[in-house]
Amino acid sequence: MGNTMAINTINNISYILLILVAMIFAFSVSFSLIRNKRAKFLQLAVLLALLAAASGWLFLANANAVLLNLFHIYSFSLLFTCLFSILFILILVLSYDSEADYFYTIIGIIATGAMIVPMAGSLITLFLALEITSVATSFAIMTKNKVHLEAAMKMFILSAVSISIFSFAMVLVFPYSPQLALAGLASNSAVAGNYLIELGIALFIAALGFEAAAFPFNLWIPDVYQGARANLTAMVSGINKKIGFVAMMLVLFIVFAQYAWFFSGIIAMLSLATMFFGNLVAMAQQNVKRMLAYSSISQAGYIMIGIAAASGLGLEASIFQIIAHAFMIIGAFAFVFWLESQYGMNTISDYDGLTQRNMFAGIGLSIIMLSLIGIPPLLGFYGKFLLFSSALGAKMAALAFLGIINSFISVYYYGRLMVAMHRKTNKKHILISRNTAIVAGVCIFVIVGIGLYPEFLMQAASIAARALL
Amino acid sequence: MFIYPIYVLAPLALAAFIALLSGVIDKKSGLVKYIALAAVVASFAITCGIIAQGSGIYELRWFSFGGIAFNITVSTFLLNKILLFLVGLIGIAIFIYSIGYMDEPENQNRYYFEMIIFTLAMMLFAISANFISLFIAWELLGITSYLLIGFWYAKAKVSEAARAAITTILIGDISMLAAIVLFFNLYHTFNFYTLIGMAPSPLAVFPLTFLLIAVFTKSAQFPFSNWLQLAMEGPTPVSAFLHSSTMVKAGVFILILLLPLFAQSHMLWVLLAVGLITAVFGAMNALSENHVKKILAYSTMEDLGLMIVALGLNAVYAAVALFIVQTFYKALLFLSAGYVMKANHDREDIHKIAVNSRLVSFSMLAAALSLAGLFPLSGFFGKTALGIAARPNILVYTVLLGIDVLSALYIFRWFFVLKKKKKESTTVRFSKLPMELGIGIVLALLIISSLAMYFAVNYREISILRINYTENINDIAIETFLISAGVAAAWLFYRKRDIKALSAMEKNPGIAGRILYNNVFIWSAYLIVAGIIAAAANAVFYFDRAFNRFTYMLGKLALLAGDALSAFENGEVNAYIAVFAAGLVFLVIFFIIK
Repeated sequence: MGNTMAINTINNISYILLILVAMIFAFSVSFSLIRNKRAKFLQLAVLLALLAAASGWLFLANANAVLLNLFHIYSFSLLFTCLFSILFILILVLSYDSEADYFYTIIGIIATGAMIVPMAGSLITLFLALEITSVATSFAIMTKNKVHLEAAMKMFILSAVSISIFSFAMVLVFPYSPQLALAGLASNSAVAGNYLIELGIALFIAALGFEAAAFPFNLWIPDVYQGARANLTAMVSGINKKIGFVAMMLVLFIVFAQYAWFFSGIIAMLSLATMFFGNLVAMAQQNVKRMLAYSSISQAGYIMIGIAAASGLGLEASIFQIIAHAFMIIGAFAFVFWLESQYGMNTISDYDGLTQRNMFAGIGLSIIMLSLIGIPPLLGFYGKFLLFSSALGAKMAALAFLGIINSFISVYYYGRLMVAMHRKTNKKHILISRNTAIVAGVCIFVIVGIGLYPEFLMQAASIAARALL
Repeated sequence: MFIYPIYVLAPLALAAFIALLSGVIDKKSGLVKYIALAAVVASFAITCGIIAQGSGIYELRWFSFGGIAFNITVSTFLLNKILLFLVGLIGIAIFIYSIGYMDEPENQNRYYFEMIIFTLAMMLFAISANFISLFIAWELLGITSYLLIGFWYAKAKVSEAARAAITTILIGDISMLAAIVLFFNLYHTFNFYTLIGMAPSPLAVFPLTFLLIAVFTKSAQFPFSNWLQLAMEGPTPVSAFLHSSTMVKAGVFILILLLPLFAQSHMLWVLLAVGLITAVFGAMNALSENHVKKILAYSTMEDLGLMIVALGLNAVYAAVALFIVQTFYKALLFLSAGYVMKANHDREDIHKIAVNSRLVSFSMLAAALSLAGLFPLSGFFGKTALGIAARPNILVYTVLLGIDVLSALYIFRWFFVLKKKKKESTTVRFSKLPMELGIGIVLALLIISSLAMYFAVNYREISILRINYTENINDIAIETFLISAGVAAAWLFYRKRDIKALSAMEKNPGIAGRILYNNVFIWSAYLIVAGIIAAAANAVFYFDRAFNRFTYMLGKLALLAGDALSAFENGEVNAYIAVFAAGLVFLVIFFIIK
């Protein structure tokens, strides 16, 4: 009896997350009334830290609560809420010195959307949260600068296309459960040979493939990554793209769980196309931001291997790699952000001799590159290891093999940047700002620390994966 | 307070971190050598604490997936304690010695960083109880030994030697990995002690073969022995450490642990044959070599060969006895050699080096006597243990007696030629005290170990040396007589002649001399083996070149494909939407067809 009581209490406590998210939204809207930038930063950071702590604690306490069929708070969503809160704090620290006043309002709204996506209990919630995030992101990117404006417009138009396809897909599954609750749809939509449902799956994959950067829905990515300020690029690649994956997992593995055999093959093909597209085009790039953009496309391809495997291990691998890649790409873009905004370094040849000009930047970026390649004992290795073994476990040996081939290809462009950074040079010394150093330092610490002791993250990913299935 | 064995690595890890940081911050500060020394002393203190505790096996969870747990398992059984103790003891002496030896200020941080990691790897190796921790230590040993052998990488000869070492070591690494995977497939465990307890499998021959290849590369057994003498290009403390208690002992140590598996699979004859061949090669090459350190390197080859022979005879106690005694005399020989080289402008030819220090002369004599195996020094106990174990097999026994004579001959050639009066005076200035201190410590250890061996013989119920000396007194007498004859021959050949006559003789030896001295047979055998290897290498080279061109073409193709695919990205939103729509249509068609 006492045990059930305790569980009930924990489940009731978990509603506090919704209150915190609502507070983030309310505070960020009220930011237009505050002039003090420091106060805005602190309010948002403290709320996010509270959210991270609360969701972390609830994750350990194994909470599981449903509110009005609109929100579902359980291990899977708690892990991602915790992750996104930490990542948003990193983004806030990174952008503290450079952004204008209205930035905090927008980032608060983006954070609201991002937190709600993993907690979504129905397609309506998911739709609204995705809408909020992507529209607010394009507003965050937008400034009077023409390049930024172009990137923002591209993102806005294409996200409008994707969201309209998402809403059409919702219409197709609407008859099966008018409430559009994920769990309700799951039990009602399992009708064999139903073309409407199958068309719905295709549309969902297309719409969410836009967010998650799956080929051929990812063409906007390099333009936006290059056009946006690098701190926002870090956010788009580290958070927005991951939201796409979270939504994809929710839709595919809850609503269409019965159709796993059906979508597995198409996701595997998309994954292959994405990996090859990202890696091959990345080889041809001279601009570092663009190269990282294509590399993050190829990493999206790797993450989709786990979804294609459609097994517990596959989901665990995907979740692990999502977390790993978020830290790696934010760390990389933290350096890129500073070097671009202060020193105008864009192309790979600008990075010549970086290690000599600044030891921390050179070594740190090298560690991140090594982790992206997947060299043990860094974080990226375990992600790829789990992904490829999950593909083997799902009898998709060809997928695993081609994935490994892609890993080889990726050595070329990551290695090219590393070689450039370790060249000798006589250029002047570079200074790294404190905020950049903090963000990059945290990311490198995570990459090396969890790389040396990956057990607990693997456990967490496995708990989350089991909760979803 | 209970001390977990893994704690022994903590001071070293901390010191390595400090050495790394100090290399970044301040390249010229001399503090790092004292930090390194303090770390080794602290590790040794923790080792003593571990030895005082009982034995046990401890698991540290690392990560697991798919039901397979990858744990760092360590144990503190008698063998682990012995190796840990030896590494700590010799480590202290060598780090003290290094303070005097490594007097170039700009490379100190690099040197001490690599040395500390090397020590750390060996200590982890000493306590490892499963293949996971073993493999980590194995790889760390390989890479740090490569870095240390190539320490003065600017010299062409040095980088060549380091490359030879890493090539051999990498062959061993791959074999070790293959062995681990195959063992896991057969027995579903990484743990050594579980592995030994398992029922034997007829397929165990395959992993055991790979394990043997790995061991032979690490312990420099035939045909993977050549890197050992090339490795003499590294700093002398490194050679001393590498040849006495670390690295080359790693292979033998893992063989001692897993010997029951070899016995079950009837593979002991391989050990016996390879060990004997290596020992004979090593001893004969040591006799004809003139490089002061290479003679010792060949002698290490011989020692390791003898240990493998002991294991091939299933005489674990003899192998362990040799393992312990070899540590002290080999460290002492190398440290003395480093000292006299430093005092002679880094000359390498034994005919051109003069020994002026009395302490070093005495150390050299003690170590040489111990190596030759004369009572009452500890080498005697190792040699006799092996001799008694080999007694039933008359062929092996005869060869071993021959090796005994040869080793007495070459080590006293080394000693007598070095001790001869030379014309050149030695005017090199260097800080002698730390080096002498290091030599003194190892000399003291040699003498203490001799006493300990005497104790071990008399109280064999509680010791690892299970030999009855009174029963085997005849064999021991024969062995001692032959060794003395070898020493006497060395006296006649090398001590009596003056340096000019000696050089003339060594340039133009008689027929008997030629056979013994230039080891013609061995040389021609080597040439045949080298010819076969060269032919194989050529074939591999052509295959490699073809493959290289193929991959190069693939790379070109990939770059072209990248350029072609970039055409998709023309920056126009309507094009992007068109592609988006095309993708959507493709998805829908795919789903409907399916």
